Amino acid sequence: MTSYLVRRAIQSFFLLWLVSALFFTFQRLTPGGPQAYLVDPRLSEGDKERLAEDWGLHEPIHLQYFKWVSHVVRGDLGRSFQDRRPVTEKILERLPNTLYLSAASLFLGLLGIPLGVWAAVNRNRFPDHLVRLTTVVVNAVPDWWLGLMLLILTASYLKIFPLSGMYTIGQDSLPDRLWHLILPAVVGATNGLIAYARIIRSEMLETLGQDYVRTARSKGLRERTVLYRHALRNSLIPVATGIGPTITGLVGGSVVYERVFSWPGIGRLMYDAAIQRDYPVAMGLFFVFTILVILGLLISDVAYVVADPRVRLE
Amino acid sequence: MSDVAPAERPRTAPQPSMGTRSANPRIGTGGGPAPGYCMVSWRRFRRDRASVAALGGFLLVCFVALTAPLLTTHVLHTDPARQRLENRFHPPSTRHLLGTDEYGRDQLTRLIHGARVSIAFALLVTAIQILLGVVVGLWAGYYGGWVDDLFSAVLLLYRGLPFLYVLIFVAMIWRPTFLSLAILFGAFGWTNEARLVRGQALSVKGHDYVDAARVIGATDSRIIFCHILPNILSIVLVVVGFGIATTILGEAAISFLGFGIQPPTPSWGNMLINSLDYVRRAWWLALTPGVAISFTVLCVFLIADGLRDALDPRLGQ
Repeated sequence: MTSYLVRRAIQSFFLLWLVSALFFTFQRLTPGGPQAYLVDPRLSEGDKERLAEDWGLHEPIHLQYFKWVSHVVRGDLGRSFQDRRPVTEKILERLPNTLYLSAASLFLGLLGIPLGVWAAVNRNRFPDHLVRLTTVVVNAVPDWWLGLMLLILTASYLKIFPLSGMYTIGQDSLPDRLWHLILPAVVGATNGLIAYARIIRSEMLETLGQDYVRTARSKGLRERTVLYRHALRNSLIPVATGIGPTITGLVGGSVVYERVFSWPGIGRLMYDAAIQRDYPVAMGLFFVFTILVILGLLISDVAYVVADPRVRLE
Repeated sequence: MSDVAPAERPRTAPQPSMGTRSANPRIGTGGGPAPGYCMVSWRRFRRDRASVAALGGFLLVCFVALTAPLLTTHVLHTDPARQRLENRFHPPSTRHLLGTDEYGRDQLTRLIHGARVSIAFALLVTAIQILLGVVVGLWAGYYGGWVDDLFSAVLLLYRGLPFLYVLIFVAMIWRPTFLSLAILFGAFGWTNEARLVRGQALSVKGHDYVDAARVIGATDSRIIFCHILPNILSIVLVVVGFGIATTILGEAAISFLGFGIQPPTPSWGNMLINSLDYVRRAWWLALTPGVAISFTVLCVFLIADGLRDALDPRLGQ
């Protein structure tokens, strides 16, 4: 296990290095360079030159990259073109908001497990058909559009939920925050919910046919105990592997969710940085996102081993 | 080399009950030639009513997309680019069946023209993905060696990349066009296909008939294209379905953010760019493109499901 983790860490390190080198070069070598967009037309050519000089854009690309990396190692991702604030600071103040929303979506998505059990127990009856039909249909609907529709219906017309943001300005309290969290979390949860419901349904159907389930039943155990202690526990293993892609999806999708719900997270920051062509911020965010995705994959691999003692990582 | 003709595919498990006809094409049905593999698959596909309905739905969308200019000029008498500012935010009515948008353009007309863009995009991307995926997958699966190692490394790299952010990052540098976006989507999406093809090629490679072909002196390319490829084609077809669906969804998301297909060209995704600003006054503008996306993707998913069951009954089990 330890050797596996060490190997994965080395692998992840190389991955990060490759991705950052690739995108750094890509960003700096574009025609006109990153400074092409940042200055307004009132600046003279001389001013542009001095700005580029100031930001070290005239140095050879490998030196620029080396400089960037040596700063990143010390936790410095550069300064924003837009407001000159340190990128690290900008990202760190937004990161908790994204993690908060993603965690809420992740946990809400786990509700797919009881849904899958419900469908499996009532195989070929109404609940099963309902769950199967819903998963097929919702799977085809873009989740962010579903969020948009919910927003229009519940926030704009019925006025049950707030239209945007994390909390009501000036009235920051826990109930208020939860109230703002519901819609975005539900939308973020749909993908995971559907995936888990599907996986658990088919896994449960398989497990329920096993001998040990029959043994448990013939021992006279309550149906609840048989379902949740015997059958479900063995059906949960694929869910452990599914968590990685779910985290990846949530992190990757954050830019869309946060745009729809005006959520002040790093996805929103990426959107704004892209609109303003704020390269240092975008580059820093890209780096952070890659780390988050790699972490998500690592968590799912480890969870797989923890959940299933039969699996050994070489 | 007629020993493995398509009609005698060894992977198609004979089904015991297929009505009056036998599922095994070799046995035949008395009179006339035996139905081929495609015929048998089609019969199986046809029995699943949901898939047939989905096929009809998808063909309808494709038909609308193909005939978009004709439909809008001669049936609706509208132009997708015609702005009438006095007609802004017109709710659905008999004159504008789906209402009008922020520039007074007819929403239904734009939706029909958007179908053209979104469907063409999905098909082009899937074609690129399949080409790359099949070539790399077959190579990695059949030959193994350094191509296989390189393929695993690329998979690892792609797994760690948030695709949406790559697209946004690239859009910051170059204004995306239809073609550049399609190439990006293709370059990032082919790994799924390749992984599947590789796995299948690896398992088919071990079959006796491949050894038999090699023994009688068939070349590698002949084995790959005449023996392995036909046997994994059914899986490729199913993956094509899922590729189309995922591409439509991905294009919609990136275009919704404004980093995909650029307006004024309408795509189902970029018709939603401004919808956030209108949630209070024009719900129909947000509703219709999403319904179009969901309907098409649902149809494609159902077709792919039906195809999987029809082409290879063992896969569904």
